[in-house]
Amino acid sequence: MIRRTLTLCLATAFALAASPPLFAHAVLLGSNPAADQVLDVAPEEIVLNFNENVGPIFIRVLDLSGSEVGNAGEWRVEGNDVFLPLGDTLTNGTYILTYRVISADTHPVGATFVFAVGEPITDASAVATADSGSTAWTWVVALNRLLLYGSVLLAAGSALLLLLMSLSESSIAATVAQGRGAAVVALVTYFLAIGFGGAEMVLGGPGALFSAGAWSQAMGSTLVPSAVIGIPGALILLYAYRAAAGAPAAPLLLAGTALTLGGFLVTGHAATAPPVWLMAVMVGVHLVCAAFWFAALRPLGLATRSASIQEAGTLMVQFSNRAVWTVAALFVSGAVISFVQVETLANVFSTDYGVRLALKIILFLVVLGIAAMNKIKLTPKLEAGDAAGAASLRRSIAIEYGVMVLILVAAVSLTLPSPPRAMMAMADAAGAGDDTVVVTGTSRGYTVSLEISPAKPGNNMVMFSFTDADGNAVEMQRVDTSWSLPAAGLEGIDRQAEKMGPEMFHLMTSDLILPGEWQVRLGAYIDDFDKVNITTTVNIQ
Amino acid sequence: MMTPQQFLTALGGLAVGLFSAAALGHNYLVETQAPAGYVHDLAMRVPHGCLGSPVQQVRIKIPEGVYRVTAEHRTDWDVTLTMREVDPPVPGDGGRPITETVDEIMWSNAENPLPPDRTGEFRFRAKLPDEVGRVLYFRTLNKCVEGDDNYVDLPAENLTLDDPEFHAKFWAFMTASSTPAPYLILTKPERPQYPWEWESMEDRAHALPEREKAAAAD
Repeated sequence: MIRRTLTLCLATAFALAASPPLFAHAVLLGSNPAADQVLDVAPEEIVLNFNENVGPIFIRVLDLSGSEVGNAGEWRVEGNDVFLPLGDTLTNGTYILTYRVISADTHPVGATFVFAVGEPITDASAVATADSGSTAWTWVVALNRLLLYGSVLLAAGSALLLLLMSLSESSIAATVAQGRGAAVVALVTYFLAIGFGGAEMVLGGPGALFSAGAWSQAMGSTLVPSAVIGIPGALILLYAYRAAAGAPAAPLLLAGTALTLGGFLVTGHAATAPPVWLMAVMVGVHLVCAAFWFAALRPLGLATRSASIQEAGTLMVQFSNRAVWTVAALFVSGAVISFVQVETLANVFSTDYGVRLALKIILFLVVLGIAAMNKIKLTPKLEAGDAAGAASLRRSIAIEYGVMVLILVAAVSLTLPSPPRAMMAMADAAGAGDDTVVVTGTSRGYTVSLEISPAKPGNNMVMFSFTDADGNAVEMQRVDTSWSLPAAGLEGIDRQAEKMGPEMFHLMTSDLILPGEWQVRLGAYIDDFDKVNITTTVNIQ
Repeated sequence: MMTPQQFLTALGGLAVGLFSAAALGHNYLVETQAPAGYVHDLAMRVPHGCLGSPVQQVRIKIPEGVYRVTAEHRTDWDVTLTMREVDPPVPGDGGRPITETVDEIMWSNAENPLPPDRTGEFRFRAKLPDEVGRVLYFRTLNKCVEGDDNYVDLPAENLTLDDPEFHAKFWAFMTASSTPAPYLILTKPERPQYPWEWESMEDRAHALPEREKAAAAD
C-alpha cells in the first residue's frame, strides 16, 4: 500500500509537472482545487500556483460535454499565482481544468486534470477507485481488516481448540477468555468494514464514515454478505463463550466457527477465484488451520507459566501432534491458492502481489522453524520437568506469536493490490467484449498493442503489450504514457503504466473524460538507456 | 475572451518557445562537433536538476565504435566504469587488439549532489570512430534525489549528413522529444590530430606565417 500511495503521489506529481521535465520551465507547485479533488461546494475561483511568474495562454474549465464554463478568459496573474474567477457558475458535477502557460524561459507548458463539485468524480466504479484514488481511508480499511483477520482467527480458533483438544480447567478458562474478547472485536470490525470500505470507495473525507453515500456504495459490494454471515457467527461464539463455566457446547462452537470463518469465503481475491469450488475449500481449510494454530499460542504460553511443568508438557505434545497435520494442510492449501493467484513463477518477482506473497511464505517458513524447534527441542525438556525449558518455551512461543501477527499483516497487504490472475482475467474479459478497442503503433521495429476498454469517456482500462520485428513479445522495464486530445485543446496527461506481468503493462485511468481522437505518446524502456517512443491515436466515443 | 495583450504574450511566447526549444534545458555535449578519428575530450553539460531536485548520479552510455574511454575525476564523486566485450577485437593503440571497452560511465555523489540551480560538467576522453558524417548519441541518465531525467530519445530514423533532408530531420528529432539524447557530429578532420603526423606541407600550412604559406603553395 505504501508503494501504491507513493506511485500515486509520483503519478500526480508527474501529471502536474512532468510535461516539462526541465527545471528551467515553469512547474505547477499546487492548485485549488487540486487534481482529482472532490469539493463540497463550488470554488469561487481557480488558483494555480507556479514556481515562477508565468504568462497564461489559456486556462479553461470544461464540463463533461466539453463546453467551457466559468468566466472564460478573465484570468489574472499575481506574482507566481494565476487566478481564474468562476463566480457561482459551477453546479454539482465533474469538471476538467486545462491550462497552458509560458514560463520565464519562454517554454509553453500545460497540463489537464479533473476535479468534482458535490459528488464523486464521474461514475467512479469500485475498480477504478481502487487504482486511481487513495485516501486515509485506505489505511483505516487495512487496519480494520488486520483486526478483523486476527480476531476472527482467534475467536474461531479458540472454539476449535476447545473442540479438538482435551484441556485442563485453567487452559479452558484462558481459551474461553481469549475467544470471548476476540468475538467482540470480530463483531465490531465485521460491521465497521462496511462503513470504512464505503468511505474508501467514494474517496471520502474525514466525515465520510457518517455519510449515507459511503454506506450505500458499500451495500453493493461483497462486504455486506460477508458481514451478514460473519456477524451472526461472532454472536453465536460470544453466546457460547458466555454460556457455561466449563467447556461450551460443541454444536454452538461448530456453528459459530463455520459462520465467522465463512464470512471470509464470500469476499476477497482468493475465495472468489475460479474454480470457485476448489478455491473456497482451499481457503476454508487454510483459515481453519491458521485459526487453530494462532489461537493455541496464547493458552499454550499461559500453560507453561501457571500449570505444573508436566501438565504443560502433555498439552504441548497434544498440540504438536495435531500441529503436524495443521502445518501440512496449511502448506498444501496455501500452495494451491498461491498457484492459482500468481499463475507463473515469473509473476512472483515481477508483480507487487507476488513480492508480498513471497514475503508471507518466508514468514511462514520462519514460524515453522520456531514451531519445529519448540516441538523437537523444547517440548521433551518440558516433559522431563525442566523448569528452564518452560522459560525458553514461553519465550519461543512469544516470538512465534509475533511472527504470526506479521503473517497477518502480510495477508492483509495481499488484499490490497490485485493479483495477476485478476488482472489477466480483466484483460481477457476486455479482449472478449465488443467494447474493447485495439490500436497499434510502431517505431524502430517495435510494435505496441493497446487494448482499451470500454473506450468510452470516463473510466478506462488500458493494456499495453509489445512485440519486436519478428513478432516476439518484448519485456519492457517501464512504460510512460502521455494522453492528449488536440481537438479539445487538452494538454498532455502523463501517467506511468503499471507492470503486471513480464510482457504486460496496464493503466486504469479516468483521464479520458471527453470523446474524441486521443493521442497517446508512449515511452517504453527496454533497459535503462534503450527507450522506444511510439505515438498512436485512440478513438474514445 | 483573450485581451490583445494576452494574445500577443501568447503569440510571442509560442514563437520564441518553439525556436529556442532545442538549445534550452536538456543535457548536451559542450562541443557538438568533433573530428572523426581523433582522441577527443568531451564534456557533458548537466544544466539543472530534476524539477528542482539535486542531481546525484549521471550515467553516460558510450556508443558503438567509441574506444579508449577514460572518465574525468570529480572531487567527491565516485566514478564507476562498466565494460562490454568487443567481438571481434579491433586494433588499438600500437596495434594491440581491444577486446573490451567502456560501456557506461557513472558518476555518483549521494552525499553532496549537484544543486538543481547549478550546472555541472562531466568530462571524459575517447577515441572517436573514423566515420565522417556519423552522428553519435551519448544517451545520459540524470538520477536526482527525487525523480530522474532520462535523455535517451533517439531520432525516429537514422540521421546522416549526406541526406539532403538532414536539417529537417534533425529539427524534427530535436523538437519531437523533450528529452533528446546528447549528440556529437563527426566532422572531416582538416589534418591528422598530432603534429608528428603532419608529413605534407599542406598539413602544416595553417600554422605558418603568410609568406611561408605562399611559398609552400608554390
